[in-house]
Amino acid sequence: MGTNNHFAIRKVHSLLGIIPIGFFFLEHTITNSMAILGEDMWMAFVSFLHNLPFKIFLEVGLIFLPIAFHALYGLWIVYGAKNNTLRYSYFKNWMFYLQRITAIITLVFIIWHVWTLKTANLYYSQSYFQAMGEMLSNPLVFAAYLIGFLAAAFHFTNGIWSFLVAWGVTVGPKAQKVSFALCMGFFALLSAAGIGSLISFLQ
Amino acid sequence: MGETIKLRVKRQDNPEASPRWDDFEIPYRKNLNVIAMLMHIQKNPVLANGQKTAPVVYECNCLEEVCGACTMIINGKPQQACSALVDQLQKPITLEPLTKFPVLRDLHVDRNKMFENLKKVKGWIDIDGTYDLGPGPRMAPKTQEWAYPLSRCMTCGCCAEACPNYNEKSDFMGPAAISQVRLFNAHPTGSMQKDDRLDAIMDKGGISDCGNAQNCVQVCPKEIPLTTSIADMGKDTVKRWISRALRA
Repeated sequence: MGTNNHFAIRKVHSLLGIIPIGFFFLEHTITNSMAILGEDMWMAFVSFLHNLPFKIFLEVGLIFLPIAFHALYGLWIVYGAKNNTLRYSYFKNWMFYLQRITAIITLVFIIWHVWTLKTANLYYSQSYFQAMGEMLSNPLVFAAYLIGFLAAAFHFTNGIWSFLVAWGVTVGPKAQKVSFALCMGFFALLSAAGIGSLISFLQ
Repeated sequence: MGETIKLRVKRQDNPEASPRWDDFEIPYRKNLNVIAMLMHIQKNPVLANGQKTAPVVYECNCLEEVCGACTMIINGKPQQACSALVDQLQKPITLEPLTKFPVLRDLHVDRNKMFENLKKVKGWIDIDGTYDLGPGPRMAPKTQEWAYPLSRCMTCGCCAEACPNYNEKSDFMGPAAISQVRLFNAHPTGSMQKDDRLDAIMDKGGISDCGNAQNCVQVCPKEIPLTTSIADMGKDTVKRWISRALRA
């Protein structure tokens, strides 16, 4: 007992996926879905976040470090599995595999997404909204954003399902079935918001 | 010669040898099971092409699906050869040794790791030592009934075989041992070592290595609610984790 932190590290990994990463993802999706309501609304939300005090500490402490920990330990988890969906093609086994595939897609997307937008520094361009639209008018970029967003949304919502199992909230098979349906409903909702905002930038 | 059944067996002569496939043809009998086919090969070790061969090595014991010794991969799924009825199997029938355990020879594998994990989690009820401890607390009949399905685990290894996280890259102990912790912790006498068992499954290779692929519950021949056991122990380990941290 107490000789290693194996359990604690895995639990921290699991918790970080919800708090703060999941909450940040939710905020990020809601903020960007304001694009559906128009440029002014979107810009108001973005400016509010952009002008938050101690932004760099918020970005590092609530976004970068949690994601870095979740991703690095997550890669170790992905490596540790020997996927066998072809031999055991049960639905939950596919979800297990998909959780790992979307993990990798999301990680690659986030690195590219943050890297390109941080270096482009579009906030001070004439119209941030139009600059985003121009960028997304490239079909390859649009496809990358679409796939990246859907992967992140699935990883988050399916992650909530397994979080509830791992922390012993949904114990029985029926409870797990209901929670999965709710999580996938949430996935559909997030997808609508995400795809809607991506399309809105194009106008 | 009447109707015959084609049988393909993945074999290897020793733990280091590379595997090969051997074809057999076994005379059909009504209600034939896979073990009876292997017994036939033992008596008459001849390949389908008429060539003589060494009898196929396999393990079996109870012949009624309660010991787990004859667990092997039959037509791609881990199960017991004794309860695998030929009439219900697709032909040709393929037999392979379990892949998650070291093969000793042919279909005979070393499942010692399963047993070592049961020792790790104290998968037993402590009884009298050098002196009589007296009668233990009684177990309510309702709890007995609840615990019975969990007690049917025969450590056969099907759950570990199907689990993507149980492999040579990981120390994961697999679903069976975690379910046994749930069984023994629910026992009034066993619960006296409750925290020791929880600590054991919170160690390396413990419950946090489960990734919820839930193949275990699909392949368990005894229909043990393994994923319910894991989630239930998930809850108990989280409680234990917090209590341990706050009392440290």
